[in-house]
Amino acid sequence: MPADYENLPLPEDLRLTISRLRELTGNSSDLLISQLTIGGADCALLCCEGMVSSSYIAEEIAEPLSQISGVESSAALLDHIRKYLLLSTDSPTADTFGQLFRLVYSGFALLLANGSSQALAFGAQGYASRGVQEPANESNIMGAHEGFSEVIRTNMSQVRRRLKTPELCMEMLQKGSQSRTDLCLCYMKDRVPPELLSRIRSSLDQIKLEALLTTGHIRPFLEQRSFHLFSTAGTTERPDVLCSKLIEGRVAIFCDGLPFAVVVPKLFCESFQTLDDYAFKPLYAGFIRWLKYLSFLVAVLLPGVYAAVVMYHPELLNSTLLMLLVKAEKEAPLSIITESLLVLLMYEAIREAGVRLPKPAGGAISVISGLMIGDAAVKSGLVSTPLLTMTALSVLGGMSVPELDPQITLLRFGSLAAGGFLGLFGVSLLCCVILADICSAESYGFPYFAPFSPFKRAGMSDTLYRTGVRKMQSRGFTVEDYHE
Amino acid sequence: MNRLSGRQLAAAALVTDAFTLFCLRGGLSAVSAAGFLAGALVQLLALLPVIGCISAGGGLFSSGRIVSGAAVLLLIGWGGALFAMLWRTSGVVFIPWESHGPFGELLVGAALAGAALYVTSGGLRTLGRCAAVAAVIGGLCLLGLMLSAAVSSEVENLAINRTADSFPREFLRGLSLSGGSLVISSMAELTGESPKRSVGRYFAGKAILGTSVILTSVLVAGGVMELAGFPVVMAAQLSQPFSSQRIDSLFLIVFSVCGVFGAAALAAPAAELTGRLFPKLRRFRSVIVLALMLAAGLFFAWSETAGRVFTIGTPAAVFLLSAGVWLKRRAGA
Repeated sequence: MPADYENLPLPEDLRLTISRLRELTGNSSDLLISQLTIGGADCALLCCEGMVSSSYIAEEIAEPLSQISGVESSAALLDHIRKYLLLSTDSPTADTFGQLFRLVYSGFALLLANGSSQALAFGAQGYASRGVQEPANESNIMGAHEGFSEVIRTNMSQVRRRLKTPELCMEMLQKGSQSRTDLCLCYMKDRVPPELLSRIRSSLDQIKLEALLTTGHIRPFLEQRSFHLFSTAGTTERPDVLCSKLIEGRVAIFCDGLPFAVVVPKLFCESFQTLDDYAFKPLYAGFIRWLKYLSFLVAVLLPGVYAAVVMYHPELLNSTLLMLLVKAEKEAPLSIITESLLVLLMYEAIREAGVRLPKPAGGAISVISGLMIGDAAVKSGLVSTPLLTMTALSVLGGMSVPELDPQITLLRFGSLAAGGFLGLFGVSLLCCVILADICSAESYGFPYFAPFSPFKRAGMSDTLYRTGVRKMQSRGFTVEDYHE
Repeated sequence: MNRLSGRQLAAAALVTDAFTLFCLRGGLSAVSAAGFLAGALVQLLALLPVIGCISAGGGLFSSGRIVSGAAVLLLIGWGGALFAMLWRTSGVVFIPWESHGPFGELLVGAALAGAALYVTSGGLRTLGRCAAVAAVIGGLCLLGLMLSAAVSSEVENLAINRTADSFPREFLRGLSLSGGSLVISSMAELTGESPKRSVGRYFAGKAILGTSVILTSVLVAGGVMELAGFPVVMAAQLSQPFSSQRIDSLFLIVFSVCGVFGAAALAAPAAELTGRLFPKLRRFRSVIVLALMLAAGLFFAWSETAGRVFTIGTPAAVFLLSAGVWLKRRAGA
């Protein structure tokens, strides 16, 4: 519901406008109102403290304004500024209190003149923000080392700098009834399927939240409604990765305040691709990709397969390995399931503590966990060494595919339960359920598991293996090729 | 659109047949392969009226509730036969809990039905995509098993012809592997491609799969076939390329995966048709169908003869139903 002031027109009387402003903002201390006389007309300069650059206002706005003299009326003053002074490149106007607040709280300086019901705004943004830094979660060896930041305009410029083409479109919109967060819909208009774009627009129209503070506030609106473990809307914090997605006809959504772009549609195979794949020779890149697929399987299935083999199918092991495991498990006081569950839960707790605790405490956590799991638990006989090795391998496998970490974590417990309860039969059933979950996921008609199933031969050259860049340049691939 | 491609449909049908093939009982010989091929040919002939009905437009199930109802019964019955096969075979493939009496067997069946329910609830598209992946992975695993079987195979086993005097028996056995043809006949009109191509792909795949599995089993286990309760399972267990590591764990995985997608391939069209016949049950159609399949499985596990008669009679039932529809349409035209 729009607020009462949203469409309330600005009065011509400056004193009345100022008193309304004070009343509507509860005399908020960060709204700065400087009353001054310009060329004989009573005026007020509005800005929000901390949102504007005070030096810019002093040098580029206040000084040129103070040199204006002898204007007939306030309307003439505003007309003169508009026509003869270029105080900022971005100079919108506000006719209502709703527009005025949006501009002030976006870092604009607004000039109100007595006798005019319009305010002139000048882009003078100068809020403190984190600069462009290396992405924390998407590391890269051979590519660029800059990531997105929290300022939407900076993020947009990072993409624009890499795609200097008029085909790249950026549509601004605002969402959040209280936060009025800027969103930017970003796409290549010659590549994006028109239906995808219109469906994304209508999905975004469904956002009726009060505030948009995380990608989690946008992604559910871009995903299927039904229950799925895997997410069909991806995120990236790298401008170079985003550019490659845009060229493939995908749509990105930037949200002001977030150093991520949400990308739609997302495919399962993308979780195993990095930009570094294209920096290395195809053979090595292909090897790394296969290693990641294998790591995913190890991360999900190893605890379950270990429990299944040791508990129900010991005949699958050779005698040396069997003796080793029997000896180790004989000495452990807990059952394999309990033991595995304990180690996995301990790992998850340590990881969560490492993420949430202040950075300086991270080192201490590593030492304590190393001592606790690596030494004390084994020496005390609580946990067997083979089981610990399997768990470590599984966790390590998960780290190779960080994008799927939440899914891997849950599935690892599922696999343990299935393997412990029904042996390899249970693990196989779980594999079927996972496969069904992956195969049923779709994003706006784009199957999540493409190009594997439905099988698209053309897509194999950049999924199952990585073909040479020379061949790729003539491929002309867009995501539309996968649409069903 | 809840459509699936011809390849996906053929894969779903093949996965169903693969499971049935793994559960084969009694001795096998080269004649079994011939019987299997002859049975498959008869199934193909039985499908001709189905292809005719779909190619002429209109499909099978638009002709009335009786045809749809009969198809649901056949699918549920075949699902039951599949569960009965699972219970019979679970002991030899070492599925935990199966030795815990009826409770254990029910648990194994319920677990498989639960996984099949999850697949079915995703719709025909999900089933088609999963079946295609399962067929490829299953094919690769079978290839691995066959390659490992090469070490322990003996060519002279092909000459052992214990069942030479009973080609009709082997033919009936081949005819009873009719789950896939039921799947394809009930889902052919849902594909976006010509049914001829789907059916063609399916029977080509079935011929390759059946003969290769049967002949591999004969090559590996031919010498001890008289002792083999489940020859395909035994062949997998005997074909060990290494002295200790057991490749038959791979077989258990292929067996389970084919079981889940086979049950789902039978349940999905049955659920779809049940939803059309009884719109009020639409929400729980998959649960109802799988529960009925389990019940039918219990019946077929109790009366093995009934199960055998049912699976052998399925192609005839499909032929009679579709031919009836086809003749009625022609008479109407």
